[in-house]
Amino acid sequence: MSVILEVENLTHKFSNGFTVIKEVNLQVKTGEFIIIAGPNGSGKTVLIKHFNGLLLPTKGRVLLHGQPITKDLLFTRQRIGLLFQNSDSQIVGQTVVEDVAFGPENLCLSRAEVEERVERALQVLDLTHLSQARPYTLSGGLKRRLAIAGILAMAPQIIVFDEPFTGLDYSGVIQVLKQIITLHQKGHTIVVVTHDLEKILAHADRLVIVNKGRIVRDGKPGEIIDEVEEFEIRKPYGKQRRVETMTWLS
Amino acid sequence: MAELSIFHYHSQQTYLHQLDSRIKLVCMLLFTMATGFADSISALIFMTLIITTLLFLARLPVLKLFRELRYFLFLLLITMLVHAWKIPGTPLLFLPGGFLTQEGLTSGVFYGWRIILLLFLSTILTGTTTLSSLREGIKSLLQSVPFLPAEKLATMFSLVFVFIPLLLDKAVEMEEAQKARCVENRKNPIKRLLFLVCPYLYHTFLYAEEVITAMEARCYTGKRTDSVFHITVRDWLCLVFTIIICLSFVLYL
Repeated sequence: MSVILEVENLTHKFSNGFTVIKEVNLQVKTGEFIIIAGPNGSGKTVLIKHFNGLLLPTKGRVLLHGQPITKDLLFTRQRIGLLFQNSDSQIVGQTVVEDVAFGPENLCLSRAEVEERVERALQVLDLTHLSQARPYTLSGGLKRRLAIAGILAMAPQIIVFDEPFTGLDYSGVIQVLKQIITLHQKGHTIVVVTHDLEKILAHADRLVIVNKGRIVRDGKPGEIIDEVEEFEIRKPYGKQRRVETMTWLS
Repeated sequence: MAELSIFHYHSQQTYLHQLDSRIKLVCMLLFTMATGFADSISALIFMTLIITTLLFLARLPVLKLFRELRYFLFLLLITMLVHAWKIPGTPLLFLPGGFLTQEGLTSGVFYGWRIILLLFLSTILTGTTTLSSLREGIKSLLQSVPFLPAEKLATMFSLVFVFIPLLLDKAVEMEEAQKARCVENRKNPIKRLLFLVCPYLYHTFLYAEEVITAMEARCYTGKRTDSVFHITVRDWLCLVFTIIICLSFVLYL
């Protein structure tokens, strides 16, 4: 597997002097399914915002296909789709179809190409029947699916999910989880930021634990699951529980 | 979440929904100007009838929209009071700093009435036009004006229309949350207002920042795929009809 995204000695200091990310090194390879876990305030969201240049490092660099992302931020943002924790703030269209078209239109694609991509994304996310619905009237799970469709229409290589299950009920979690797994099966590289390992860990190839701005563990989920509680992450319930059972999909 | 209808887009297949956004913007501008000229009861009633007909034609939830006007009552009341207080004429009631006058009160009522009509006109525009066509319409109209950053202005306008209903929704939600914590027991209205305004402003700025970041993440730069416009006979007819109505309104009422 080739390396797509590489983070080298990344440090991020806020203007108030607080260093939120310290000397982080991370590689993301094609087709991987990575979970980044850590307690609140550990720097997970700040870290992923560096992946597509929404935040730029104070020290260190981020490379996409071996090139610094700052060379072409637009290309980076098209290749690395980022889904925010709050779907509401990601919605800018007044109808579902208009919102999904927002990204492709920003890429200045032809009208026919925009329409084709929108149609495809709506089909994949099973939202075609809601194409004229008002996004703010959708349920939490549907809004999250709409946000995924908006990213998918830009044809990204890596999709990064920031806390995708926050605020969702059981069926919402299942809907989103199924979509994440389908996207991975279709060849997308997936990065999921969560501290809710029980819902998704079984599907991941790699678990990265972030604590106090540093990567403290990085490896196969089965190898480091027993250590997660040292870093304020709840280990899924059950003694001797196998990682393969840590999913909400039966 | 509170579900408001005012300023929201309502997906329908009506004549107004199918009109070209540029024609719709020009027509709305003409109606807005005509409303501004209305200074008698007959003129205001005539304009109210036209706008109510348009609301029905657009299949917007008219009764719900009227109910939602209560969120603007404070603004309307202040407008009317300032007029009644500051315009000289036959005194009706003495208040500290001056008299409430009959002429002032009439002018205040007319002014408030016009504001309501303008709110409904904006609702017809936003309720029948999707954000992208509104944006493209504004951009297309502004492009002919030299030295104006048409692209940026169009995006700003369209985002305002996205924000207004969301911010109104949020205000309603926050108001209800405060009522649930018995804010009505507070006797001081200024303190009550502050309890609402401070977190509301904080939320608004935070939300604006989140939206900007999300737009950047989706490659927003200002340069986008252009819309394809098709002006038909139907659009021209609508424009001609609007010009005739507005002109006759200004000349005869």
